[in-house]
Amino acid sequence: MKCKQFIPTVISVAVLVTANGLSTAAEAQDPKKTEPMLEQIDLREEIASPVAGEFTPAGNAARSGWQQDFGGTSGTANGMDGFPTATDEPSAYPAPGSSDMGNSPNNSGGSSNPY
Amino acid sequence: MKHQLLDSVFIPMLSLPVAQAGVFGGFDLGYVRDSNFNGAPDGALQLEENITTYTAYLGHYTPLAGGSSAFIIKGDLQLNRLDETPSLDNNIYSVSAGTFHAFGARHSMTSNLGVRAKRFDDSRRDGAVYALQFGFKQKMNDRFWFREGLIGEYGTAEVKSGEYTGYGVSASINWKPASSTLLNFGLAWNRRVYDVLAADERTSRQATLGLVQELGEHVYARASATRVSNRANDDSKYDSNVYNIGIGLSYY
Repeated sequence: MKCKQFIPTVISVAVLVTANGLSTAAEAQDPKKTEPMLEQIDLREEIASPVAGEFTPAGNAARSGWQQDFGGTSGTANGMDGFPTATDEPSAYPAPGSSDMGNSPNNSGGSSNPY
Repeated sequence: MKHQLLDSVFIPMLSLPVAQAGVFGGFDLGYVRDSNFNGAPDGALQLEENITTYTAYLGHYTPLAGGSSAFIIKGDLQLNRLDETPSLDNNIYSVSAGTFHAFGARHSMTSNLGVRAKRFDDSRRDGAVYALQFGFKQKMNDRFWFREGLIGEYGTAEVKSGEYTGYGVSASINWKPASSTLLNFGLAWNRRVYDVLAADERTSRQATLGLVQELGEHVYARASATRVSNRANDDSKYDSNVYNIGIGLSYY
């Protein structure tokens, strides 16, 4: 239980510190130095467009090779576990290795992308 | 009648001033075919599963650093409906916060922390995944770029043996042969370590060929094919092909 709480907390702090650092650095920058970059960076395109955006479902499905999460409980759809399937037969892969109910209900590979 | 309804709902939405202020979102309808849903090894009976996915997402980005960085928050809802095993229908709820930073016209980086909760009718299958991801992009020009990704994740589950820690890398080549078309090829590798006695280290390798085609300003179609190869440290293994098509409406 401690691990469950500790890891998300550490990760949260790391991201917040990163975001805060970027913000602080931004304020410290000379505006003149950022002008050429402003002409070249299209945040709207880079973040949210279906084709090039880093934070869109279209990119998740196609861009980087991570499998989408379909949330099943066996095989590729949920990743490599032996949890009983809807037919009450255990997944063929791998042989259930633990005592409680078979195995994990977890997913495969996440999305490429930003959750 | 349907077109009138769509027009009356979506056209005003797309022209909302808020869409100019960093809000983005959309809907995506997908259809997936997995050739080995049950993860059967060679020679065993493989179950082909068809999955219909309904996804809605809403996000907001706040420009920082004079426009070279942004802070992004996003929420997703994904409904997965299965043809062959409907008892495994599930809903996925995700929230995330992240950053985008451009180091210049060519190099950029994203960081992202997200949690994804998965819910089934049978709550014993429920779980959640916490993930920290970093993405790196090298834009050679407006039509060609490389992308690499790193992920660290921690999965919780109702059953102890379903909990894991994982990590992985990915890379892709992206090419826009036309301004509204994206072709890409991606590779990914990840490993998960479960708290079980056998086959506790499970490794997945994936290769994906993908296409995204914009159809006008707010509609897109996508298609991808993925070869998945899974292995565990007890020498068990299985492979699968996953085909994915979809159409979506986006505003940004």
